[in-house]
Amino acid sequence: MVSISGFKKIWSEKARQDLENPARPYVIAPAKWLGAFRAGIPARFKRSEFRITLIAMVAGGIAGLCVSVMSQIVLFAHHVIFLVSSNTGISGTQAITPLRTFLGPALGGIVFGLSLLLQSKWRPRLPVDPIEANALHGGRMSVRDSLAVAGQNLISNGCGASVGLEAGYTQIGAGFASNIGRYFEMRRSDLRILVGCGAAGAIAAAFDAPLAGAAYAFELVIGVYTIPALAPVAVAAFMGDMVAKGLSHPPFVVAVSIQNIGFSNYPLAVVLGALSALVGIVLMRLVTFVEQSVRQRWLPPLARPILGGCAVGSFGLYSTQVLSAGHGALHLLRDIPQTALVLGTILVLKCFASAVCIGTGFRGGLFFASLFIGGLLGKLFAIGLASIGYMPDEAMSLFIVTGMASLAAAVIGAPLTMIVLALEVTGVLSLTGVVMLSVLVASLTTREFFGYSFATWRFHLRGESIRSAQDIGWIRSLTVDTLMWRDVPMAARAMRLGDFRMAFPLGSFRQVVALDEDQTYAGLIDVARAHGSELDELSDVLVVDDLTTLANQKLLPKMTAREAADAFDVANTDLLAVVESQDQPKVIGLLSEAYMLRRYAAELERSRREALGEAVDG
Amino acid sequence: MSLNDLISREAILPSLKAANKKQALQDISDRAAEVTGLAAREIFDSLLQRERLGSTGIGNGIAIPHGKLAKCNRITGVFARLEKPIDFDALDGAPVDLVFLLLAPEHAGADHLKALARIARILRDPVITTRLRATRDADGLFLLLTQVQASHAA
Repeated sequence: MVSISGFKKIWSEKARQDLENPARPYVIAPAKWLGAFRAGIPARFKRSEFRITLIAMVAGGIAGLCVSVMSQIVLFAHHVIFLVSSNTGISGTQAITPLRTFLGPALGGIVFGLSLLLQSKWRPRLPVDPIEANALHGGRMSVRDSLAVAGQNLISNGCGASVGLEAGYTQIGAGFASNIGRYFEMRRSDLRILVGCGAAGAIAAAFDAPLAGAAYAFELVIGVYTIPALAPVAVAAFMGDMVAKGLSHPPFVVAVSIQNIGFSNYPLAVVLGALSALVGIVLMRLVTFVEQSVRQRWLPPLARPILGGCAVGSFGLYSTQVLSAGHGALHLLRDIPQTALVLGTILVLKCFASAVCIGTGFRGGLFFASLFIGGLLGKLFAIGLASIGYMPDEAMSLFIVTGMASLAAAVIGAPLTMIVLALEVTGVLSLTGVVMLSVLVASLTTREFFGYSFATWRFHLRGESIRSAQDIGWIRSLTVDTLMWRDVPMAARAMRLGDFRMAFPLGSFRQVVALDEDQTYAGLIDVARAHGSELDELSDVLVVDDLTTLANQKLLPKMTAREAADAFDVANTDLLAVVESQDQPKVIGLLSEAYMLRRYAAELERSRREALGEAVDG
Repeated sequence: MSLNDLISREAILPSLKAANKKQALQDISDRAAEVTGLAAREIFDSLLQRERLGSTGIGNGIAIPHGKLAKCNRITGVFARLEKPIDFDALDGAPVDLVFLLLAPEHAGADHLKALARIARILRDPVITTRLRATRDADGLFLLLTQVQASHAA
């Protein structure tokens, strides 16, 4: 029997291991028959596209199941906390008492703060999201971290915090997919696709939009579209959607009635796209502003969500539309008559509510919030046009949908996903031109003037150089200690040249490492130069120290290939010694620039072929 | 590399009086500091550090102490003729009375070694050392060192 202290010891040991290896495998305990199935897979089938497609089908289905379960939990929470009985959610219900409106998010902040406390004790590290997993960890994700993220996302959304569930959906879908892939010992490139499949299944299930789910996976999670990845991703999206439908997950439909779209709407779509980009950039910066404002010594991290919850609760007193993700409010947006002033106020409050929630630490993303804010902006835009006399029948619905897609494209950084989503949730293909134009303007403007999506902006603030989900993990894993030669010829600094010549005859080595009295690095000796005839007369006088060069230039084991290339450049040499650390310059290896560049080029080629879906050995 | 580039008239000590190796190195370091503008202490420390690894007395009363310094920007020499030979822990155990100090930048590499080799070749010629020992003024020593270099080059 394990005592409590013993249990704690095991936990702390596990936490230490997790910190040392953030992408440590968590393999789901396999059923015996599954193990037999895995063991019995013929080698040819292991690399088949059929295999990954079948596995993607399972991953997509699991994602759909998770989305359904999570949305039901949230509906239940909304029912208990806010007495909301319909599927319109909090944001679509006006009849919530002020007390519940305020206390819901405020109490949610307390519960969330406690969850942060538990997390800091048991999982004291940042969970890896699907984009980061694919960019840096070859698609490796932890199920426990994903469950923790999903749980915290449920608390946040369930108590009315102004965040969507999409981050939790994709996290859990991708997390399970990653672990299924690892159970089946899938290759790095296939595992990355499978992470995309999990996310595709989740988004497809959440919006009843399989095409948008697949586009989301390609644009955001895998980072590149390839034909071999299409089947698994599309099948996963389809399965996610099917499972969610089968479990009666409420479909996401934006009702619009548009017959014909006049040409005059196209230039207006351009203007709306640019406005959406502007609001999107402000929203992303606002999150950072709030985050930095609450990061005060006197305000403990656990108190921040409580503060955020109280703030959002106060905003909710003006209109419940600013609470939670905004599903209900978006459904009703077209039909509720509202003045420009009210709409503008709700738009500003919703932006603040989302920024405050994420900035104070609530778990969730801006996916749905940006759809709703975009819808508000579109409606405001249409009202503005009406005030100057432009009021065709289709304007309201058209600009709500266009604003929705454009602002979400600016914030999420997935233009194709948002175009397809707008078409799938409305079912109106005639929107294509206007939506596409506006989304592209929003996306282009954001990229040009801001340069980030919300996800990459957050990575940037954390100091990560991730600009997309494209696999750069191999570059980071190609470190000096994986490339260096460990068998290093060494000579003491005080060794006489004559003795050195005997110990290292011409042709034996190119360079020898000179060592100090305390066995630390003192420089490199060119063996050919040491054998130069002009030094014959001095062979009894010169010592190794006289021949050393590059005493101050050395490599460290954790340097990446790129950093090492810079070091070679600065030192103007093609061979450098590798030392344990700057403080402890004990020599552990040698690395040549030519060998490093050869390996780098080979890995680059391998990565390129994997990205294109070509067969790669090993 | 020509010896002209290494040494100047100001870098000659024609009759250095030193009781021991340490004092000789200290006095030559002081002159090297005047010639190069580097700190005398830094020069002295680098020479001592090198001597700890092994004496630079090459035999026949000659020593070529040398060191590399980060702040040094060109290879520079200082020559000293000692009034009285001193013990220098030389290879042959003989006392030293001709000292050629060589300072080089840390990154000098092959140039530093070539300069050392050239100095050693010149100072190992018994005809030249006899003349150097017989000359007592700085001008004469400077002329001898630079002209000898020219004849060797020819």
